[in-house]
Amino acid sequence: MALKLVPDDINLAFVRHRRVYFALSAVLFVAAIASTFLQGLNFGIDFKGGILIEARNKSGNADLAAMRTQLGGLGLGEVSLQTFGEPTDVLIRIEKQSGDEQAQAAAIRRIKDVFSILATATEEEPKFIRGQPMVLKGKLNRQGTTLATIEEAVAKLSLTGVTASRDAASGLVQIVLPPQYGDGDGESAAIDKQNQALTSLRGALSTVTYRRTEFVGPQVGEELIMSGIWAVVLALFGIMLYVWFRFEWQFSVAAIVALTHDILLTLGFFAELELEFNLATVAAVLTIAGYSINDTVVVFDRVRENLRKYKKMPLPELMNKSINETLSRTVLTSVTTLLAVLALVVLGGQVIRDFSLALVWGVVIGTYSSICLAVPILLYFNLRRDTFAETEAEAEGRAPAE
Amino acid sequence: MVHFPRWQIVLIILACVLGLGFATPNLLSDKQVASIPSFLPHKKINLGLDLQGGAHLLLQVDVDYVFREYIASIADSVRGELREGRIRFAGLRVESRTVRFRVRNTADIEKTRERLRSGVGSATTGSLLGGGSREVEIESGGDGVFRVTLTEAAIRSRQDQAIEQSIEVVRRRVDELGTLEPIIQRQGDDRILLQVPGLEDPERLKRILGKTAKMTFHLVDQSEVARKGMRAPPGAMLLPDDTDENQFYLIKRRVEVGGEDLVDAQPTLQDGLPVVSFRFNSRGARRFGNTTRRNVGKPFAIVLDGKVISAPVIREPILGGAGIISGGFTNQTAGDLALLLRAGALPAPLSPLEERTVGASLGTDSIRKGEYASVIGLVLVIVFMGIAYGRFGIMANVALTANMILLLGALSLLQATLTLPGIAGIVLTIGMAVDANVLIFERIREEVRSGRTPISAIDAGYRRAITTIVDSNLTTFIAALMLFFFGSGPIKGFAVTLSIGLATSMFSAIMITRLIVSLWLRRKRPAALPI
Repeated sequence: MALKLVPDDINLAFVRHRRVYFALSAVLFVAAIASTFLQGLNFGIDFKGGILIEARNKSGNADLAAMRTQLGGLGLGEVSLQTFGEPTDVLIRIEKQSGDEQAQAAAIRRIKDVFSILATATEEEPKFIRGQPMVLKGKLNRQGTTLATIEEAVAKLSLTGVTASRDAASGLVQIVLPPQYGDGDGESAAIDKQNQALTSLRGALSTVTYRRTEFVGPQVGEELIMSGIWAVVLALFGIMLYVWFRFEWQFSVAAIVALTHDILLTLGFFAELELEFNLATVAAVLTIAGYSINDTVVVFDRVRENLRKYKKMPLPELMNKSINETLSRTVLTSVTTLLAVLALVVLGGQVIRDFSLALVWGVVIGTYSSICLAVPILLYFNLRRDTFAETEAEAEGRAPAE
Repeated sequence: MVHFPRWQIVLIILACVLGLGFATPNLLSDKQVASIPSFLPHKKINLGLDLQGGAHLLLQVDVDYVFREYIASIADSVRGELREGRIRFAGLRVESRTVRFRVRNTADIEKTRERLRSGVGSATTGSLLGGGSREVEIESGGDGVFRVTLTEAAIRSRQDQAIEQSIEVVRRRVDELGTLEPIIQRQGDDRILLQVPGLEDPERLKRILGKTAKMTFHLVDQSEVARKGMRAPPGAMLLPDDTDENQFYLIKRRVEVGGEDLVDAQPTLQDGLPVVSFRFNSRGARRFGNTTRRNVGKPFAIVLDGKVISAPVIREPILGGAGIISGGFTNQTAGDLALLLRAGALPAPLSPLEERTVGASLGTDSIRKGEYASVIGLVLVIVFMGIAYGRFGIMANVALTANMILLLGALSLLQATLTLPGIAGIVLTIGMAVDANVLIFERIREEVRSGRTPISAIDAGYRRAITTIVDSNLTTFIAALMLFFFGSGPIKGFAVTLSIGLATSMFSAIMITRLIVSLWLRRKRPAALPI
């Protein structure tokens, strides 16, 4: 009744063919390094600093070409645009602006102005004080927009008594909100209401809704890179110590070689597919390391057990036996993990898609490296069986044989 | 391994019931949650800003500014003490964190040393135990050159003070902005993390935080006519007008009254023009009264962040401790100034290093997609386990479901923050959680093959698999731990769900599945295992 993905008597020659796997890994390894350094990693703003805005076009699909022209005209340096998940959603990335933080804030305001039918950033900040009408001034921004367009947008709001007028001489449009939207029970309630009214007014004037706005300063970016590197290095070190403590140094070295292999191949995967490398990617790398070591330890555990059990069996045969005995578990766990992670890729949404893709890759590569690298590598270190025999005696709580 | 003492069964069931209890509020609406009596679990999982929407700002406190001010005040004290002691000196200047000067007459060296030692040298950094360390080190050479240097302890203590004070001021300013519920934390040596759930447009917030709002009252130096670019006479400084860049004032350095003595400030109208009315505490009122009484007819300058807001002439002594600032305000600027004065001055300028704002719509989408992915992932794994292990797969699935409930319960109980990567961590846990069961079941299969009876096979399977499970989970846990320590914000959330998931999945595989298997064994006493 139960399905067996892997037959009980399986005996694949993993260890005998180890040189094939070593060669394959070496090729992948070199390719990954080449890709990482030649192609380069597509660093997100987390690491290189800059501005990221995710916007959803209100009227159907986003016109990337038109947006590119409009934003390109702002002189904000390199602007990259791409649709994000849905055809209505656009991800806008702008390189960090020279100048201080004010320059970054100003750049964000100017971008938001492009998507508003009323450009307010160049005008004086709106004034709002409790009990007084609130006034928003700005220039008509786009071809074909008239006062009527503004009035139409404002009419859709749930605010009543809002008026829009245009000064013939300066061409400035002025929107006035009646005082009741800026008044409330007490100072903070009043300010709250003002903010709400203004946010909804600004929203109505915009042709897009902003789903995300991020700005990362260069200094923070550098620190995030450093802490990412530290996290990976210390995790490897911690894992190495643990495996050393629980097994023998040979196992811990083999595990670290396999893990380094996984991490570099993951970097190569990101570089080759030009996936965005950001904070979440570092998390993915560490998760992959965690998954891979989990797999490796299970096989190591069996190797250790068999070393005690079969005192005369040649090492290559013993290792191959260990891999095959745990193969069913390895495959089953990989399948369940892949099922879950694939659900994440397909349904989890665009924001974590790259992260989920990395996990899929990591499960595959981690499983492979545990079986085909970590264990065969052990052969090249001088494993001493007597250390394990002793441990077993202690573990069983008996006095060592005399 | 197959036998369970009664207390263990009770504990396992208790853990599951508690998990269910703590997880339940997440399924209810806010209104229903509000009606839960307080002795029952009534907390939902705490959603991160990326899921509930809001603004995240990382602010840098300009501590160098604090140190510059600090060393400048030390320099003032040194100058004062030398003058009081009638010691002639030259070349007094500030070098980084040191005040340096030369005593003209080498005979004065000992006297200077004594005077400084009992003056600035005796000050200690504040400590609750009274045993604070000294603020400055005094060094002197035979050539009459003195160096007064801030100690490391003084610098550290002043830095801590500045950050604490900044956090307080930020909190007050954000509170003034309405009914937001900000989270404000110190981060590292000189940073403040400000998170405001629900705030989608942080423009005004940033503007309000961008001002130091250091207000001081000074007398005006009338010995010369102020002009742009002139050299200010000693004891005075040349400051620009707040609104007119080309107008300058010569202001005496001495602070008559400081903004720290203000207790209230409000925007009002005077003769139809917006002004800010203010009130001092008793100390401020006394000093303000004294200054205005002695200087009737002279101009009195109000300086904010290095700019002169106005310099009205004192018509009569102001003894009540209340006054009005007028200075060509608009309604808006008067309102903002009053707000800033009420909230107090920042000890140093703040600048945003990092800003992340997530709209509520994206957050809601992320939650919905995360839920889909979790549920579909769970269903896929459950179906697969059922196919792969039959009856035992169903037992593992019961444990997996219990694991999810425990995980949600633990997240609600600990009030850990759930982020979007955190949801990914949950989905990953779903996939990896069955691993422990797979390990055990595979082991049992092997034991069955080697000819053991069902009970003995299950017993041996559990016993042998447990060390493997612990080893493999602990190594994964090391990676999660590093993520927690080095990750920021959303990534921390991922580490949290992953770690809790590891713990609950070990518990559910080793305890819950084992209990189910053991109960089944006892009831059916099977001759062969369907595995």
